[in-house]
Amino acid sequence: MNIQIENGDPVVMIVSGQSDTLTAVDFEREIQKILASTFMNVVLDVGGLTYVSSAGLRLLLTLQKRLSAKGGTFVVKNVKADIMEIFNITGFSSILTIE
Amino acid sequence: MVRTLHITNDLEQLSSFKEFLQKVCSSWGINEKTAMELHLAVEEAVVNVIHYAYPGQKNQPIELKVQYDAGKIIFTLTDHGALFDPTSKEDPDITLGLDERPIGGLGIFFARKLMTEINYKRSGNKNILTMIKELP
Repeated sequence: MNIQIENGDPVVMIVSGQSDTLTAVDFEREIQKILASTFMNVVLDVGGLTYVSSAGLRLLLTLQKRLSAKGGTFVVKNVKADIMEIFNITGFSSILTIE
Repeated sequence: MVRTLHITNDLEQLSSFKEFLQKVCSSWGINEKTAMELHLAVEEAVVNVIHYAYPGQKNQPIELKVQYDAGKIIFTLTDHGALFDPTSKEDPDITLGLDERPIGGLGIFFARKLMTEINYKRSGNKNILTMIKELP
């Protein structure tokens, strides 16, 4: 999975490819960097994401919970139909703010 | 038609699993959406076996057999590890809000939602997980 970060307010994280158990390590590292920083607001652009398994979803949930806990915001945008189906099946479509 | 993949309990082997599944779906003419659903469900099951079947041991065998028969695709995942029945876990409550929602528990839930049938049995010293999907 490819990850690009654009610092700013909000931080924009652009991911493409597959978010699975193997790529979760890198994804988690980038997420932890953001959570350790003073940035409060994150936009995750998933327009290029072709697959997300439970490992990736777990990280999205972590990001959502931790940003909310410190009063920040987390928005997911450009969700394609296949990924939306996964969000619906798992109930994540109600937990995440999707634009 | 039957294809078999042999891997060990190492997460790095997931790339072999991905490649194997892609080849199988492609040669059996399975459409992209179904292929993604199969990938999701079976990846979860394989990751669970890698994590839980052989605690403290390396290079232990895991076998994934795939059959295509009468409009159904049948996965049989076998390991020789500790008794582990993934079907005994309860589904996570997906109606829980952000504060109540625990981080884990999605793996087998995916498999249950996306496959038509899942069965587990312990046979001798083997865990055998069978996942069946009826194809559209």
